[in-house]
Amino acid sequence: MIFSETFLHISKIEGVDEYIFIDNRGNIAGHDIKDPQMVSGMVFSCGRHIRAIGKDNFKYAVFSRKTKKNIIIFPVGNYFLGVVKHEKTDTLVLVNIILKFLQELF
Amino acid sequence: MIFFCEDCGAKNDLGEADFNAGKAVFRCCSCQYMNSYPVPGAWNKIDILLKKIQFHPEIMGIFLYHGKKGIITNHMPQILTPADLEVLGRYLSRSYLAALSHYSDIHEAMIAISDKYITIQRIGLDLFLFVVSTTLPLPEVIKELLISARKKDNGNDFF
Repeated sequence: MIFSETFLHISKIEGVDEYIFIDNRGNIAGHDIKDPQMVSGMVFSCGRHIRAIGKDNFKYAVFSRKTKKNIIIFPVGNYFLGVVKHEKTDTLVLVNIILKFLQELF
Repeated sequence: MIFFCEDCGAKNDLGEADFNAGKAVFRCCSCQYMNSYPVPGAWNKIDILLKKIQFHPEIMGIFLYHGKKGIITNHMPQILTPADLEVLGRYLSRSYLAALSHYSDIHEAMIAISDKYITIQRIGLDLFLFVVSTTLPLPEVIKELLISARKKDNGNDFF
C-alpha cells in the first residue's frame, strides 16, 4: 500500500474531518488529526474486538456521538482506518463514499 | 428499587444488574439468603419494547446482553446458537465500552458485518440492546424506540 497517496485522497473526501491509520499492533501509520493518541487508542481497541468476531466479514463500524462528529472504523488489510466525520455530513453517505474509495484502491 | 428478602424480610436496594429474565436475583444484604423471584413489571416493560422493535420487516432479530450474566433475552433467528450470540454480545459490548472510555458522548454503535447491520444501545450499566437489521438506516419509528430505551434507562424506568 502506498500510504502517502492514500492519505492524500482520504483527506480530500468531503465530510472527512480527521483520519488515522493504525496497524495491527496499534501503532500509528499516518494521520491528520488533532489528538492522534486518543483516537488511535479508540480505533485500535474497538477494531480488534470487532475483528475477533470475524476478520473477513467486518465491513465497518460507526460510533455515534452527541456532537455528531461520529467515528467510523474500516478494516483495511491488517490496518484500521479511523475517520472522524464532519458534523454536518450524513454518516451513511460518507461510509459509502469511503467504501467505494477503498474498493477502488485494492 | 427496594426489594424484600423472602427469608428475613430485610430491605435490599437493587440495581438493574440484579434482574435476570424478569426475576429479581440477589443475595440478601442482611441474612445472605439467595433470593430469586419474578418481577412481572420489570419484565413486561422491556419485553414490550423488544416486541415493538422486532416486528418490523427490516429487523432480523434482537437480543439483550448483560456484561456479567450473558444473554438475557433472545429473539434472534435460530440459526444463531446461544454460543454465537454470546460471542457477538461479548466482543461488541467490549468494543462499545472501549469507545466510551475514550469518548464519553458516544450513545450508539452500529457494526456492519457481512450483509447485516448490528445496532447497539447501552441501556444499563452492563446491559446492552442489540438490534440486527437487513437495511440501514433503521426506520424512524425504531430509532425513536431506541431513544426511548436510553431515556428509560436514565430515568430508571426499566427496572
